[in-house]
Amino acid sequence: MRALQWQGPNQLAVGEVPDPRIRTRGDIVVRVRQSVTCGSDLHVLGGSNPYVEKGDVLGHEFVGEVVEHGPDVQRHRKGDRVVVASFIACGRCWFCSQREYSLCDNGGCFGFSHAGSHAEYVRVPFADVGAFTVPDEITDERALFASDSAATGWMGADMAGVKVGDVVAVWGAGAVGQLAARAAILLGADRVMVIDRHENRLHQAEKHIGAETINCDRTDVGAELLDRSGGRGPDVCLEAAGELTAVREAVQLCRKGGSVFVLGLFAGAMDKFPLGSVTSNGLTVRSARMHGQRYIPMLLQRMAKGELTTEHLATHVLPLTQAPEGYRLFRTREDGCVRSVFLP
Amino acid sequence: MTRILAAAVVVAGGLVVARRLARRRRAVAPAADRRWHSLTVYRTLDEVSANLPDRLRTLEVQLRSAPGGRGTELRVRAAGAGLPAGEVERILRLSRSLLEVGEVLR
Repeated sequence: MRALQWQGPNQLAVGEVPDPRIRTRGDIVVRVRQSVTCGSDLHVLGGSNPYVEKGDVLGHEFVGEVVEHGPDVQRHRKGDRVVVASFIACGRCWFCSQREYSLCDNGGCFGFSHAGSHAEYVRVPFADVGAFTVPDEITDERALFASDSAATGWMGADMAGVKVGDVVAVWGAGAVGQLAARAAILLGADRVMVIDRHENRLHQAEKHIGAETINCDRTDVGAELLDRSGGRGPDVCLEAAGELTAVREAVQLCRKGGSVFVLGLFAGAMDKFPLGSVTSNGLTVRSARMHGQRYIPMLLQRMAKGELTTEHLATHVLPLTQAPEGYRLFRTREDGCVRSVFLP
Repeated sequence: MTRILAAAVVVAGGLVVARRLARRRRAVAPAADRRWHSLTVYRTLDEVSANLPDRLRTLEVQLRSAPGGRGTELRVRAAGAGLPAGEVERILRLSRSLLEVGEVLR
């Protein structure tokens, strides 16, 4: 089958790889209908992940159709349309019992530890835990983002403790930032402000998400947030830009006793972390990779009701054969690219 | 010529540093791992002791219930001459997968 393979730092190519097959009794094999780029792929693409080898298949956010299932699979049958959580979780370890699925002791992640979804087919282990049937009324374009972006954004708002009446600031107007903002609105926040420097993304956040926006290149973000929160600072700050400066700002601008959640993917150490702001202001700082299995069923319900729309995020839809170009557009943000979606 | 000499100095300096690092690694690298290693399995003490994977039977094994309903603490170390560094941890991780899900995800 055809698949997008990592060939070395910043080198991608579509090549032939063996078809996946059922390897354990809880597996399914999915024919990929749509698969989308993610900012976390850029770490792999740049060569900073030591576990990814030449020839590995990228991609972890996808929707598809079941073509084969192992004998222990209970919830899925051939022909089912499914969306799959990007983190593979066993459902049987202590962390899964706590619903912290991305911490699973026996799992992994598509496109990192296991063959990814930018391919014609993908094997899904522990399918009863991580694959979810998509209701007929939801389009592929919408369901696709339940796989990771929407679940990540919702997790940030949920675990940061967004509640009715809160003022929430979100750093980053990419897919995760926009969907974190939407989650905060649906959880009852009074004001939700999205911060970015790209006008096209901020326009999307206003038009499709219903959030207020701040262009950080044109405005003093700190002064603006203080003004819009009556001098208190945001109750909840969600970092979805994947930038150290955004983490620092979120910590420094959060109100006393507030909550900061880091959604961006960071590796290694961070210098000049404003720890004094955390201790002096009594902040709660949390982070997590995506516990998608916890949220995807609820997200699909909200998508079916039209509360959560994502189609606008797929700014560039390309055949899989053009995936290297799709990643170039995504990485450079050329032509207003928010996400590139691949059709195998 | 100056550039060639400078390059030679850099290469020579690099070789000296590399040799020193290699000596330091040899000096601290343990010949064999005889330390105890622990890991918690989300299964009861009875389940773990009744289903101990074969790979663990070559090691010294201690079991006790983990607090807070977290399962069983599995403590092992290499018997006899020991194992290469990292091998005991690898066996522990594989054993946990076998005990919790019956397979090792590939």
